[in-house]
Amino acid sequence: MADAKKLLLKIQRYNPEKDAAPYLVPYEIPLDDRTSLLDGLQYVKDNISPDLSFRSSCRMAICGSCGVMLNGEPRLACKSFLRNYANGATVEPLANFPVEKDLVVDFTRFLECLEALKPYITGNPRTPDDGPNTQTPTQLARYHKFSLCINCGLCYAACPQFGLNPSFLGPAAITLAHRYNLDSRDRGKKERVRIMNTENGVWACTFVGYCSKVCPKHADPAAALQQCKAAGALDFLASVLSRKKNRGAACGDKA
Amino acid sequence: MNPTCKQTKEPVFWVLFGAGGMLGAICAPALILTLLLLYPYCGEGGQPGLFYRFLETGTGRLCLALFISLSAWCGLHRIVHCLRDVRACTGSRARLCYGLALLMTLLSLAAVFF
Repeated sequence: MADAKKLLLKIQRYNPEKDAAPYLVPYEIPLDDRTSLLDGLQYVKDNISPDLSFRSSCRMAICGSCGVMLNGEPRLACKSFLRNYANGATVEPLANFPVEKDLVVDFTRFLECLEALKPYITGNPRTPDDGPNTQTPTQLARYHKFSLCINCGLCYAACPQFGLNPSFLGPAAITLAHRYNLDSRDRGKKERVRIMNTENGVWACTFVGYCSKVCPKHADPAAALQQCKAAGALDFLASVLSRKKNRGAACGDKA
Repeated sequence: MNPTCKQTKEPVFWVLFGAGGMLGAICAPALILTLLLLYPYCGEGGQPGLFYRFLETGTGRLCLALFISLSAWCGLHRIVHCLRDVRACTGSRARLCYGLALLMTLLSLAAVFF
């Protein structure tokens, strides 16, 4: 490793029990063409600063644990290769989330949004005795893109509206809700649409589109939000025409 | 989590915004090109062209009124959201913007029928 190329990695450190404010610490790490940011962080933890905190698990952009801001851009550490940052890089925790320690952020708000929108098949009365609940390829294609979301939270870090208004349900939660709304096996659309049609639901989105740009799985949350708006507008029109008084009623007990 | 249960009227404004934006994106370049550039400078021998004759009919004027009013809703809805983005959107400012859009709608419709 003595002859290996070196890279200066500035990592934001913050221990709320000791530090008054976050601060950047430069670390020199060895790298080759295959060194990912996650490898670099692990090198720092193993060899220089054992108390560095960051999340990681699968190392292959599947678990969505290792999201960080790399040079100000939301990225998965395991999917970002340091060979592309010859002049050094700055690593910070995901934006728009409270920092717990170093690069670890508090995802509570995001998880609450997910829980409220029930991103799973619900209301289907079928039992195992009914056999497999089959779908045609066309039915699968309607939601497949949105099912690629891995809950990494990069879209929340990219979303200026979530930064302005933390009550916004946010891109990933709405994308996953939309994924189940489009699923032919699901029966929970009505309840999800009611939550998404609140002030902090889909209407807080102004279609900046950065969420789709940073999504590591190309799930296209911006498209999901636009489709939800169209569906929400139709739902609004239908409820006005039918004079239903379901608006504002019991906005989800869990919500 | 305790998101507000308040249902929003935003779908109404969003539909008007979307319609105005779409119409503007599709029609505005053609209208600007034909009405403001091609016709005045490359007109049909000083005679009103087909499109101008269409605008003299009731349907034509209604289309023009729709184009003007929906463009107003689109632009003023965008202004409301811009104000929100800079944390300067109060209820009265939003009402002022949407009131202006409504006024432009009424004026353009009045111009058609009176």
